[in-house]
Amino acid sequence: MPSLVVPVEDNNIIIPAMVELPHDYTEESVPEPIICTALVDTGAQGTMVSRRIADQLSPPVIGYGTVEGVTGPAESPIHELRIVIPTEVEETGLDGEVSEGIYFYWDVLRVMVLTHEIGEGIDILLGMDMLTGFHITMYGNQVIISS
Amino acid sequence: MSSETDAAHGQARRNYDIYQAEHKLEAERAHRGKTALMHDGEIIDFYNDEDDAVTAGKHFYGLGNFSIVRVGAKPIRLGAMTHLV
Repeated sequence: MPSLVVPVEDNNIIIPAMVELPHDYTEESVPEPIICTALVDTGAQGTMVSRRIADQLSPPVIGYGTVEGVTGPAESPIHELRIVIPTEVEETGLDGEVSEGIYFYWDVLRVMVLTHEIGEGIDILLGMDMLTGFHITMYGNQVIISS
Repeated sequence: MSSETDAAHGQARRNYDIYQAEHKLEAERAHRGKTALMHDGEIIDFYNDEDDAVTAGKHFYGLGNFSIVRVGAKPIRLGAMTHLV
């Protein structure tokens, strides 16, 4: 069972991530994936990305939704993105082959866009819409995310 | 921003504005919790599953030529990160 062990630092769970356009996106010049970091936030109902991600990847808008902001509900475009969380684990397949570098990934995750920066170098707020698909265990000063 | 993305923004924005102005009350009365598939300002159908609505939109109209509306959806809450919006 692939799992990712992440230390909790300053009450934050920050993990490496890669974000790119979904693979069914057919535009001729597909931008390069963006390597960034993500903040795991169990208090957020949905996954959000920074304006930088939206501007660099220009994912198509598939709708609009609302996010509860400080001054009330704010409209945000809804984008589809592919988000990958790399892990350093081994997994033995049915044929006995051991493979390394298993990834957690969401091929098509619908996200909205933040209007303010999360923090320096952090471009993704991973919310409960994706976290509900995993087992999350708090153990000491670390978090174990398992599929 | 590419022309395809521009078109998608325009289509989605226009659909959302028309939905808010013309369809919201009736849709929330009769289809709350479903996902509306919209194309060129018209509601094509309501789907129980959001994935089904997006799949149908891509199949029939192509990416960037449709949009979805989550009927009656409450604003997403970000908890301690609310200040980021």
